Amino acid sequence: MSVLAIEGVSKAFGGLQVLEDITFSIEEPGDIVGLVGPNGAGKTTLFNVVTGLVSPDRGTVRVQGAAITGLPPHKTAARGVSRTFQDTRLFDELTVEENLYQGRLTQRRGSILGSLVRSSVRRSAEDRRMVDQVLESVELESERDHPARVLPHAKRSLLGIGMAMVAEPHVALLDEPFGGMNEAEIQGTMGIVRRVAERGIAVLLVEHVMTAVMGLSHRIEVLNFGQQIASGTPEETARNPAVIDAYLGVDVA
Amino acid sequence: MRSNRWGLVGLVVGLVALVIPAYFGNGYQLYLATIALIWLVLVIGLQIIFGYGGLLSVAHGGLFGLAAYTSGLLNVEKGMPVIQSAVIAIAVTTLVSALIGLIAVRASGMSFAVLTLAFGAILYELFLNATDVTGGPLGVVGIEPLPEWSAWVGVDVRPVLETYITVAVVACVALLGLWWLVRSEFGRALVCTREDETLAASYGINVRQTRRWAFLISGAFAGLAGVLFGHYFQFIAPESFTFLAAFQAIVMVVAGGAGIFLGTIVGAISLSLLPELLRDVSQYQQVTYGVILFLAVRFLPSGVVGWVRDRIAERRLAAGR
Repeated sequence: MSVLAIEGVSKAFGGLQVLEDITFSIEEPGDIVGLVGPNGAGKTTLFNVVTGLVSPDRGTVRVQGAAITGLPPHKTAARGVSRTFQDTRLFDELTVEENLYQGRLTQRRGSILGSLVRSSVRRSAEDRRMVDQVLESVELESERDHPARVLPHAKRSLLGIGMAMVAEPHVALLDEPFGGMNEAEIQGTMGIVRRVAERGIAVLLVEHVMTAVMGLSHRIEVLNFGQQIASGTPEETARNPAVIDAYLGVDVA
Repeated sequence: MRSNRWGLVGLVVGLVALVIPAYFGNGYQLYLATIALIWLVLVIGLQIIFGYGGLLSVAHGGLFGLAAYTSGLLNVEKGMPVIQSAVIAIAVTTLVSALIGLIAVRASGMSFAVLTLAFGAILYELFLNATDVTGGPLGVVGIEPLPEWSAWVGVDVRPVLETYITVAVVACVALLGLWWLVRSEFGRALVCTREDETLAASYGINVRQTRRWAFLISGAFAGLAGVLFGHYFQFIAPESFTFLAAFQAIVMVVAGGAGIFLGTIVGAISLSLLPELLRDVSQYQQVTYGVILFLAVRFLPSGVVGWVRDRIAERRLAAGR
């Protein structure tokens, strides 16, 4: 049973076919699959379909075998899908630590009345341990009590990854976590994405930074104008003429 | 953890501020203090949906009035005891809030504000035009005062002080309610929906459900305030419940600090006392509130308390580096 299975997903906005019969899966916990393609290829739309922000016209999305197609985002999150955003969204007025505790609650929401009774400041020992571990993993211990809004760009991205990690999802969708980073930051963040995978979380990685995708992914899926034009290991993908034509040849010297 | 300490400071300041008028106040000062506390209860309600939830409700003037009218009419027309009419009025207001919330939270931002403005206006027009029931522009007279308890307890207090204590106790309970709500998982989730609704949903928060409940709870506080208002003045008329009432409460939230516990108290108390300081120019009262809103939005976007908090946080950050 695949961790994440995308089966024949299609989506059109008006007359524009954004996704055309996309099919692939992430088989094992801890696998990293790269999703690449030029801007407008449909990568973010695919993320939005998986998380439920957008309903597909056709096709099915499964997590651990169970269909989650068409569920709203808060429900796909509860089924074990976490995501980060290209524009590094965070709860800006909450502290780094509070953001992580919020991530921790993802799969644990009960009734409204329960949430009115439970305190948000008294935390279980397990939650504290988990948040401490993740703070260490994403190297934000010294920023623990800072409001998220004061974090510099690269650290915002790390906190986003941390929130996905702390939720203990089946699959984490990372949307360009390396965007706007310098070489040293890219190297550091690659290590952090590996830590996500080491926790047994399957990772679907959208990224333009080729060193990162090639270095991290076990498999790569290539989209172009909503079509799946190639898939395979990083080496196979890099040699594929269709891919070079569509994308790599243009962007990576 | 920082916010906890701030909240505690708020509670202590609030309690001290409550005791001062009780000891030293003459009748007029107690009257002012009582009015301020009734405003505080309404502002607590608005703080929940607007300050913590980020949704600007202009319906709260109407909801405030709905409770005052419901309790007042049940009391005067049906001869119902005050406690009973008050409970029913709060229940009715909460129910109506739930219905408004059901519709209004489908929108957010400006559309939400406009929808609530419409509901507030409908309620006001009912007070004004359903003459058979509400008495129309003449309002409702002869509403019984808030229950007396001093003889029952066996203490001898002046009636004005007795009423003040009743209102103060209710306001304290309301404040504790807000304190609890803010610290609860629900309160934190509500803040998350304000900060970024897409992100909130991505972390399992049902945004609309959270907002519906926030509006319901917020309306219940408006109902509580309305009941206090009606039985305190023993007379109500439609003009107290126009959107200007909501507007004043909004100014209090913004000037004190939207989404800041202590800001609720500072905004409500200071701005409800302000008209008395400016009594000589009382015809300009709404102008004053308008000017304060402008100044706050322009110069203190996070309110007086927010400004102080941010300066302290800046220092702490600078010292930490």
